[in-house]
Amino acid sequence: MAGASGVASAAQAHVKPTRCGGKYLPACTKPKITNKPVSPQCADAGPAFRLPTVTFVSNAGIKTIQVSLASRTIKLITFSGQGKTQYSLKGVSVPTTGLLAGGHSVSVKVTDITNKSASKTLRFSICQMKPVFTG
Amino acid sequence: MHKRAALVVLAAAVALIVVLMGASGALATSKPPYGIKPTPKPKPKPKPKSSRYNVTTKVAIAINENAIYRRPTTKSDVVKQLAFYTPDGEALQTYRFVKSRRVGRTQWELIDVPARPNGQSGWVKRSWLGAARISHTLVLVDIDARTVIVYKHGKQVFSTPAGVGKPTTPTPTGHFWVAEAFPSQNPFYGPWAFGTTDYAADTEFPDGSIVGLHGTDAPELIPGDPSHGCIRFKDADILQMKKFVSIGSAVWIEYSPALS
Repeated sequence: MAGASGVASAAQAHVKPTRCGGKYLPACTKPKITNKPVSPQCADAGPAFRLPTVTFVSNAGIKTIQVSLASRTIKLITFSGQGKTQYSLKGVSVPTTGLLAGGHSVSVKVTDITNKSASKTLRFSICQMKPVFTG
Repeated sequence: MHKRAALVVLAAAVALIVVLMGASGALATSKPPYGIKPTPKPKPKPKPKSSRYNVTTKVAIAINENAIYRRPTTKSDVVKQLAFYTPDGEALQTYRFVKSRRVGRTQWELIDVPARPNGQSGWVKRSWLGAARISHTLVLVDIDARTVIVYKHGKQVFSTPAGVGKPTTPTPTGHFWVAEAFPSQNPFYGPWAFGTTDYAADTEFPDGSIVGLHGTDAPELIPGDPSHGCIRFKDADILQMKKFVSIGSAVWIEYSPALS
């Protein structure tokens, strides 16, 4: 009985993939994240910093995409059913009001329907506007 | 008499053949048979302008803080660590690509490392750096002439007088790149500042005494040699430079570059 309930709870945790992992299908691989280059130039202190386009690929199907600044989630996208095999996140605004000048990082995480996940850190800088050059 | 007549006939026949051949040749060149178009003569390709100032710079940010090695192997000496941010935190740190080498399955890159003393380089794995940014802009600082000229694809797009380092704190010469670009709230530096990867001889300034290109609150000193190593511009000129120059643009600081 305990074994049966264990199976039931596992089945609820994720959708059975139909695009990969079967006898005649390729193995389900870990999702991948690619992004357009982040500008090395510092951003103004407010109101927002725009992330470059980030693309997520999963042969099983994407279940969730999460974008976080420090420990705060700033965007969460959830797909139903088998999810999408590819998704591009364009121009997400990261609120920068109140952030201290200097370096910051945004974390993007993708989880597929088999609960495999991948994450990536994108860094940016808030302008201090106080040059300390030799003058 | 017969011989003479035969010679005349022979000469006439030869002349006729020559005329016919010429005519057929002319026909062949003027109109090809069966509608075949003549092959056009290849136009000579324009020679690319060989300008010393047609400079391409390729830079990338670090995606981890691994070591930079003296040789393309993790067993060699460490030159420095990759850094995410510039020392003053005004930008993501960029590294300039010099050359590539494949060792086994790994691609290594020789990169210029912005640090004191100037002119350091080392090897990192390509996967440790982000996507490359390419710039075709060159900022040429002529110390003798107290002039800065901006080139794009080898063509001059902007020129302005500038202030350079004093004789006691001269601007260090060499080939660098723009590592930072940001608005300034300090009137001493004018409204806009670019940080370079050049480190000044005067080490009394914070964050390593970086040589900057910036505006000024003393425009009457330009052109001249008033600075501690930085390149100073009149405020209107640094704002003009902002249109052409960005992070990754090459910065060459030289004495009389026109003579070299």
